[in-house]
Amino acid sequence: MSRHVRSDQGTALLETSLALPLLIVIVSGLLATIYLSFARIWFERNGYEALICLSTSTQAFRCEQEFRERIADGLPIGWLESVRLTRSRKHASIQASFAVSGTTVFRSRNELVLPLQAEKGRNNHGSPF
Amino acid sequence: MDLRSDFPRANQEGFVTTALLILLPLLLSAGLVVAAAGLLLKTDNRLRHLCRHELLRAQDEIANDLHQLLRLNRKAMFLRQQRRLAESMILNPQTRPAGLLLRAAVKARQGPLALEQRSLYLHAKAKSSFAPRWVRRSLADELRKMQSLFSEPRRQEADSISITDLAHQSSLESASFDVTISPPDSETPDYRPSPRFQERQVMRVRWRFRVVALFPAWIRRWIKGSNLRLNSQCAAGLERISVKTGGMEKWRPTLIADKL
Repeated sequence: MSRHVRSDQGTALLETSLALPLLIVIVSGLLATIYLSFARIWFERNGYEALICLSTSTQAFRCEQEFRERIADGLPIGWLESVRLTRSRKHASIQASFAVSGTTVFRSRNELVLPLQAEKGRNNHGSPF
Repeated sequence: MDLRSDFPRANQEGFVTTALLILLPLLLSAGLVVAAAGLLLKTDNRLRHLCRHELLRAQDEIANDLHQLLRLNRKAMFLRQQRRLAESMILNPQTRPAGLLLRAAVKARQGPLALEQRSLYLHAKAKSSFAPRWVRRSLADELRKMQSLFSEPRRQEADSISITDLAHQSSLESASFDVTISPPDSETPDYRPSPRFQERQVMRVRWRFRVVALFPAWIRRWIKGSNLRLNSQCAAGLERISVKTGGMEKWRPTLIADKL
Protein backbone atom coordinates (compact mmCIF):
# COMPACT_ATOMS: atom_id res chain seq x y z
CA MET A 1 0.00 0.00 0.00
CA SER A 2 1.47 3.33 -0.95
CA ARG A 3 1.26 6.21 1.45
CA HIS A 4 0.22 9.65 0.23
CA VAL A 5 3.01 11.98 1.28
CA ARG A 6 2.21 15.64 1.51
CA SER A 7 4.87 17.75 -0.09
CA ASP A 8 5.23 21.28 1.11
CA GLN A 9 8.10 22.16 -1.13
CA GLY A 10 7.51 25.37 -2.95
CA THR A 11 5.25 26.72 -0.19
CA ALA A 12 7.55 29.66 0.36
CA LEU A 13 7.65 30.51 -3.31
CA LEU A 14 3.89 30.35 -3.60
CA GLU A 15 3.38 32.37 -0.44
CA THR A 16 5.88 34.93 -1.61
CA SER A 17 4.38 35.33 -5.04
CA LEU A 18 0.95 35.80 -3.52
CA ALA A 19 1.96 38.06 -0.67
CA LEU A 20 4.75 40.06 -2.27
CA PRO A 21 2.56 42.53 -4.15
CA LEU A 22 0.51 43.13 -1.00
CA LEU A 23 3.67 43.49 1.04
CA ILE A 24 5.06 46.01 -1.42
CA VAL A 25 1.86 48.03 -1.32
CA ILE A 26 1.72 48.04 2.50
CA VAL A 27 5.38 48.92 2.94
CA SER A 28 5.26 51.59 0.22
CA GLY A 29 2.13 53.03 1.75
CA LEU A 30 3.74 53.23 5.17
CA LEU A 31 6.90 54.79 3.78
CA ALA A 32 4.86 57.27 1.75
CA THR A 33 2.84 58.22 4.85
CA ILE A 34 6.01 58.78 6.83
CA TYR A 35 7.56 60.89 4.05
CA LEU A 36 4.43 62.95 3.49
CA SER A 37 4.04 63.60 7.23
CA PHE A 38 7.51 65.06 7.31
CA ALA A 39 6.94 66.88 4.03
CA ARG A 40 3.85 68.57 5.45
CA ILE A 41 5.72 69.88 8.49
CA TRP A 42 8.64 71.05 6.35
CA PHE A 43 6.36 72.69 3.82
CA GLU A 44 4.31 74.56 6.44
CA ARG A 45 7.35 75.68 8.38
CA ASN A 46 9.15 77.07 5.34
CA GLY A 47 5.95 78.70 4.13
CA TYR A 48 5.77 80.56 7.43
CA GLU A 49 9.44 81.51 7.19
CA ALA A 50 8.77 82.88 3.70
CA LEU A 51 5.98 85.02 5.16
CA ILE A 52 8.34 86.30 7.84
CA CYS A 53 10.87 87.05 5.11
CA LEU A 54 8.21 89.07 3.28
CA SER A 55 7.60 91.12 6.43
CA THR A 56 11.22 92.29 6.37
CA SER A 57 12.84 94.61 3.85
CA THR A 58 14.02 91.66 1.74
CA GLN A 59 12.78 91.68 -1.83
CA ALA A 60 9.91 89.32 -2.52
CA PHE A 61 11.72 87.40 -5.25
CA ARG A 62 14.55 86.56 -2.83
CA CYS A 63 12.06 85.26 -0.30
CA GLU A 64 10.53 83.08 -2.99
CA GLN A 65 13.94 81.88 -4.12
CA GLU A 66 14.89 80.93 -0.58
CA PHE A 67 11.56 79.13 -0.11
CA ARG A 68 12.07 77.11 -3.28
CA GLU A 69 15.63 76.19 -2.30
CA ARG A 70 14.60 75.03 1.15
CA ILE A 71 11.77 72.89 -0.23
CA ALA A 72 14.07 71.35 -2.82
CA ASP A 73 16.76 70.65 -0.20
CA GLY A 74 14.42 69.12 2.34
CA LEU A 75 12.04 67.21 0.05
CA PRO A 76 13.90 65.27 -2.64
CA ILE A 77 10.73 63.52 -3.81
CA GLY A 78 8.11 65.83 -5.27
CA TRP A 79 8.20 69.45 -6.34
CA LEU A 80 6.59 72.81 -5.79
CA GLU A 81 3.72 72.98 -8.20
CA SER A 82 2.95 76.64 -7.62
CA VAL A 83 4.21 79.44 -5.41
CA ARG A 84 2.79 82.91 -5.06
CA LEU A 85 4.19 85.40 -2.57
CA THR A 86 2.52 88.78 -2.39
CA ARG A 87 3.19 91.78 -0.23
CA SER A 88 1.26 94.98 0.19
CA ARG A 89 1.48 97.68 2.84
CA LYS A 90 -0.88 95.84 5.15
CA HIS A 91 -0.55 92.18 4.25
CA ALA A 92 1.92 89.53 3.27
CA SER A 93 0.54 86.29 1.90
CA ILE A 94 1.70 82.99 0.49
CA GLN A 95 -0.09 80.44 -1.63
CA ALA A 96 1.79 77.31 -2.54
CA SER A 97 1.14 73.73 -3.49
CA PHE A 98 3.32 70.65 -3.43
CA ALA A 99 2.97 67.69 -5.78
CA VAL A 100 4.33 64.17 -5.94
CA SER A 101 4.17 62.22 -9.19
CA GLY A 102 1.90 64.77 -10.77
CA THR A 103 -0.63 64.73 -7.93
CA THR A 104 -1.06 67.71 -5.63
CA VAL A 105 -0.59 66.36 -2.13
CA PHE A 106 -1.10 69.52 -0.13
CA ARG A 107 -1.68 73.22 -0.44
CA SER A 108 -0.83 76.04 1.90
CA ARG A 109 -2.42 79.43 2.22
CA ASN A 110 -1.24 81.83 4.89
CA GLU A 111 -1.40 85.51 5.56
CA LEU A 112 0.29 87.97 7.92
CA VAL A 113 -0.92 91.40 8.86
CA LEU A 114 1.74 94.06 8.44
CA PRO A 115 3.45 95.67 10.15
CA LEU A 116 4.23 92.78 12.46
CA GLN A 117 3.29 93.56 16.01
CA ALA A 118 3.87 91.74 19.23
CA GLU A 119 0.67 91.13 21.15
CA LYS A 120 0.53 93.72 23.91
CA GLY A 121 -0.30 93.03 27.51
CA ARG A 122 0.73 89.42 27.90
CA ASN A 123 3.38 86.98 26.85
CA ASN A 124 2.28 85.35 23.70
CA HIS A 125 3.94 82.00 23.50
CA GLY A 126 1.32 80.76 21.09
CA SER A 127 2.82 80.00 17.77
CA PRO A 128 1.11 78.84 14.63
CA PHE A 129 2.81 75.50 15.16
CA MET B 1 16.70 2.50 5.15
CA ASP B 2 15.40 5.85 4.11
CA LEU B 3 17.72 8.54 5.43
CA ARG B 4 15.32 11.27 4.49
CA SER B 5 12.76 10.06 7.00
CA ASP B 6 15.30 10.44 9.83
CA PHE B 7 15.54 14.17 9.38
CA PRO B 8 12.65 16.55 10.06
CA ARG B 9 11.26 18.23 6.99
CA ALA B 10 12.01 21.96 6.63
CA ASN B 11 8.95 23.95 7.44
CA GLN B 12 8.47 26.61 4.84
CA GLU B 13 5.30 28.05 6.26
CA GLY B 14 5.31 31.55 7.73
CA PHE B 15 7.83 33.02 5.34
CA VAL B 16 5.83 36.18 4.78
CA THR B 17 5.32 36.69 8.50
CA THR B 18 9.05 36.39 8.97
CA ALA B 19 9.69 38.94 6.26
CA LEU B 20 7.25 41.33 7.90
CA LEU B 21 8.92 40.86 11.25
CA ILE B 22 12.23 41.85 9.67
CA LEU B 23 10.75 44.86 7.92
CA LEU B 24 8.74 46.11 10.88
CA PRO B 25 11.69 47.38 12.94
CA LEU B 26 13.01 49.19 9.85
CA LEU B 27 9.67 50.86 9.28
CA LEU B 28 9.37 51.71 12.96
CA SER B 29 12.85 53.22 12.91
CA ALA B 30 11.99 55.32 9.87
CA GLY B 31 8.83 56.47 11.62
CA LEU B 32 10.73 57.35 14.79
CA VAL B 33 13.35 59.30 12.86
CA VAL B 34 10.66 61.31 11.11
CA ALA B 35 8.82 61.88 14.40
CA ALA B 36 12.06 63.10 15.97
CA ALA B 37 12.70 65.44 13.05
CA GLY B 38 9.14 66.72 13.37
CA LEU B 39 9.64 67.36 17.09
CA LEU B 40 12.84 69.28 16.40
CA LEU B 41 11.21 71.40 13.73
CA LYS B 42 8.28 72.23 15.98
CA THR B 43 10.63 73.12 18.83
CA ASP B 44 12.65 75.35 16.54
CA ASN B 45 9.49 77.04 15.28
CA ARG B 46 8.22 77.74 18.79
CA LEU B 47 11.55 79.15 19.90
CA ARG B 48 11.91 81.36 16.83
CA HIS B 49 8.35 82.60 17.23
CA LEU B 50 8.95 83.38 20.90
CA CYS B 51 12.23 85.14 20.12
CA ARG B 52 10.66 87.24 17.36
CA HIS B 53 7.66 88.12 19.49
CA GLU B 54 9.78 89.21 22.45
CA LEU B 55 12.24 91.22 20.36
CA LEU B 56 9.43 92.94 18.47
CA ARG B 57 7.75 93.81 21.75
CA ALA B 58 11.00 95.28 23.12
CA GLN B 59 11.57 97.30 19.95
CA ASP B 60 7.96 98.51 20.07
CA GLU B 61 8.49 99.87 23.58
CA ILE B 62 11.77 101.47 22.52
CA ALA B 63 10.03 103.05 19.53
CA ASN B 64 7.41 104.52 21.90
CA ASP B 65 10.16 106.03 24.05
CA LEU B 66 11.84 107.42 20.94
CA HIS B 67 8.61 109.00 19.68
CA GLN B 68 8.02 110.62 23.06
CA LEU B 69 11.58 111.97 23.04
CA LEU B 70 11.09 113.37 19.56
CA ARG B 71 7.80 114.98 20.61
CA LEU B 72 9.54 116.70 23.52
CA ASN B 73 12.19 118.20 21.23
CA ARG B 74 9.91 121.05 20.21
CA LYS B 75 9.30 122.05 23.81
CA ALA B 76 13.01 121.62 24.59
CA MET B 77 13.95 123.92 21.68
CA PHE B 78 11.41 126.53 22.78
CA LEU B 79 12.76 126.53 26.32
CA ARG B 80 16.36 126.85 25.07
CA GLN B 81 15.34 129.84 22.98
CA GLN B 82 13.60 131.38 26.00
CA ARG B 83 16.70 130.73 28.06
CA ARG B 84 18.94 132.46 25.49
CA LEU B 85 16.54 135.38 25.42
CA ALA B 86 16.59 135.61 29.21
CA GLU B 87 20.41 135.53 29.25
CA SER B 88 20.60 138.30 26.67
CA MET B 89 18.06 140.34 28.67
CA ILE B 90 20.16 139.90 31.78
CA LEU B 91 23.18 141.38 30.00
CA ASN B 92 21.22 144.58 29.38
CA PRO B 93 20.91 146.53 32.63
CA GLN B 94 17.53 147.90 31.59
CA THR B 95 16.01 144.52 31.05
CA ARG B 96 17.96 142.67 33.70
CA PRO B 97 15.16 142.26 36.26
CA ALA B 98 12.79 140.95 33.60
CA GLY B 99 15.56 138.70 32.32
CA LEU B 100 16.16 137.27 35.75
CA LEU B 101 12.50 136.56 36.20
CA LEU B 102 12.29 134.96 32.79
CA ARG B 103 15.36 132.84 33.42
CA ALA B 104 13.94 131.60 36.71
CA ALA B 105 10.66 130.71 35.02
CA VAL B 106 12.39 128.91 32.18
CA LYS B 107 14.63 126.98 34.56
CA ALA B 108 11.59 125.90 36.54
CA ARG B 109 10.14 124.41 33.36
CA GLN B 110 13.40 123.00 32.10
CA GLY B 111 13.96 120.93 35.24
CA PRO B 112 10.95 118.60 34.89
CA LEU B 113 11.40 118.40 31.12
CA ALA B 114 15.05 117.39 31.49
CA LEU B 115 14.01 114.75 33.99
CA GLU B 116 11.40 113.38 31.62
CA GLN B 117 13.81 113.35 28.69
CA ARG B 118 16.53 111.67 30.69
CA SER B 119 14.15 109.07 32.04
CA LEU B 120 12.89 108.15 28.55
CA TYR B 121 16.42 108.04 27.17
CA LEU B 122 17.75 105.81 29.95
CA HIS B 123 14.73 103.53 29.78
CA ALA B 124 15.15 103.04 26.04
CA LYS B 125 18.90 102.56 26.41
CA ALA B 126 18.49 99.96 29.13
CA LYS B 127 15.83 98.13 27.16
CA SER B 128 18.05 98.09 24.07
CA SER B 129 20.88 96.67 26.09
CA PHE B 130 19.06 94.07 28.17
CA ALA B 131 16.24 92.85 25.94
CA PRO B 132 18.33 90.14 24.21
CA ARG B 133 19.28 88.74 27.62
CA TRP B 134 15.66 88.57 28.71
CA VAL B 135 14.79 86.86 25.46
CA ARG B 136 17.48 84.26 26.09
CA ARG B 137 16.01 83.62 29.54
CA SER B 138 12.55 83.18 27.99
CA LEU B 139 13.99 80.72 25.49
CA ALA B 140 15.63 78.69 28.26
CA ASP B 141 12.33 78.64 30.19
CA GLU B 142 10.47 77.48 27.12
CA LEU B 143 13.00 74.73 26.41
CA ARG B 144 12.78 73.53 30.01
CA LYS B 145 8.99 73.47 29.74
CA MET B 146 9.21 71.32 26.63
CA GLN B 147 11.78 69.09 28.28
CA SER B 148 9.57 68.62 31.32
CA LEU B 149 6.83 67.22 29.06
CA PHE B 150 8.99 64.12 28.73
CA SER B 151 10.76 63.97 32.10
CA GLU B 152 9.75 64.49 35.70
CA PRO B 153 9.93 68.22 36.38
CA ARG B 154 11.96 68.02 39.59
CA ARG B 155 14.57 65.65 38.35
CA GLN B 156 17.98 67.24 37.90
CA GLU B 157 19.72 65.68 34.98
CA ALA B 158 23.09 66.34 33.55
CA ASP B 159 21.76 67.34 30.18
CA SER B 160 18.71 69.33 31.23
CA ILE B 161 18.82 72.73 29.68
CA SER B 162 19.71 75.50 32.08
CA ILE B 163 20.14 79.21 31.45
CA THR B 164 23.89 78.62 31.87
CA ASP B 165 23.91 76.06 29.08
CA LEU B 166 22.13 78.42 26.78
CA ALA B 167 24.40 81.30 27.86
CA HIS B 168 27.49 79.34 26.91
CA GLN B 169 26.04 78.34 23.59
CA SER B 170 24.42 81.54 22.49
CA SER B 171 25.51 84.92 21.29
CA LEU B 172 23.71 88.18 21.78
CA GLU B 173 23.83 91.47 19.97
CA SER B 174 22.38 94.30 21.93
CA ALA B 175 21.19 97.51 20.38
CA SER B 176 22.84 100.76 21.40
CA PHE B 177 19.95 103.26 21.10
CA ASP B 178 22.28 105.60 19.29
CA VAL B 179 20.75 109.07 19.55
CA THR B 180 22.58 112.37 19.28
CA ILE B 181 22.09 114.78 22.15
CA SER B 182 22.49 118.32 21.00
CA PRO B 183 23.51 120.78 22.27
CA PRO B 184 25.40 118.59 24.77
CA ASP B 185 25.74 121.29 27.43
CA SER B 186 22.08 122.28 27.48
CA GLU B 187 19.75 121.23 30.26
CA THR B 188 17.09 120.29 27.71
CA PRO B 189 18.81 119.26 24.52
CA ASP B 190 17.24 117.72 21.42
CA TYR B 191 17.36 113.96 21.15
CA ARG B 192 17.55 112.73 17.57
CA PRO B 193 18.39 109.34 16.04
CA SER B 194 21.95 109.35 14.73
CA PRO B 195 22.61 108.69 11.01
CA ARG B 196 23.47 105.07 11.89
CA PHE B 197 20.62 104.60 14.31
CA GLN B 198 18.78 102.01 12.23
CA GLU B 199 21.92 99.92 11.81
CA ARG B 200 22.86 100.11 15.49
CA GLN B 201 19.37 99.41 16.77
CA VAL B 202 19.40 95.79 15.57
CA MET B 203 19.05 93.20 18.33
CA ARG B 204 20.05 89.66 17.59
CA VAL B 205 19.85 86.43 19.55
CA ARG B 206 21.59 83.27 18.38
CA TRP B 207 21.30 80.03 20.28
CA ARG B 208 22.08 76.36 20.06
CA PHE B 209 21.23 73.41 22.25
CA ARG B 210 21.90 69.70 22.29
CA VAL B 211 19.17 67.86 20.46
CA VAL B 212 19.29 64.90 22.86
CA ALA B 213 18.10 67.09 25.71
CA LEU B 214 14.63 67.23 24.17
CA PHE B 215 13.99 63.52 24.08
CA PRO B 216 12.61 61.29 26.83
CA ALA B 217 15.08 59.62 29.18
CA TRP B 218 14.66 56.18 27.66
CA ILE B 219 15.74 57.48 24.23
CA ARG B 220 18.52 59.64 25.67
CA ARG B 221 20.11 56.52 27.15
CA TRP B 222 20.73 55.22 23.63
CA ILE B 223 22.01 58.43 22.07
CA LYS B 224 23.76 59.94 25.06
CA GLY B 225 27.02 60.42 23.19
CA SER B 226 25.42 62.41 20.41
CA ASN B 227 26.64 65.97 20.24
CA LEU B 228 24.20 67.07 17.56
CA ARG B 229 23.09 70.66 18.14
CA LEU B 230 20.32 72.73 16.70
CA ASN B 231 21.30 76.29 15.73
CA SER B 232 18.85 79.08 15.33
CA GLN B 233 18.52 82.82 15.62
CA CYS B 234 16.27 85.81 15.30
CA ALA B 235 16.80 89.54 14.92
CA ALA B 236 14.68 92.68 15.05
CA GLY B 237 15.29 96.37 14.61
CA LEU B 238 13.53 99.65 13.97
CA GLU B 239 12.85 101.00 10.54
CA ARG B 240 12.00 104.55 9.65
CA ILE B 241 8.63 105.20 8.12
CA SER B 242 8.56 107.95 5.52
CA VAL B 243 6.93 111.12 6.82
CA LYS B 244 5.55 114.27 5.27
CA THR B 245 7.88 117.28 5.18
CA GLY B 246 7.90 118.98 8.56
CA GLY B 247 6.23 116.05 10.25
CA MET B 248 7.72 114.13 13.13
CA GLU B 249 9.68 111.07 12.05
CA LYS B 250 8.19 107.71 12.90
CA TRP B 251 9.87 104.39 13.57
CA ARG B 252 8.36 100.97 13.69
CA PRO B 253 9.65 97.56 14.77
CA THR B 254 10.64 95.14 12.06
CA LEU B 255 12.17 91.71 11.82
CA ILE B 256 15.59 91.42 10.22
CA ALA B 257 16.14 88.62 7.74
CA ASP B 258 19.21 86.59 8.52
CA LYS B 259 20.79 83.53 7.01
CA LEU B 260 22.27 81.01 9.39
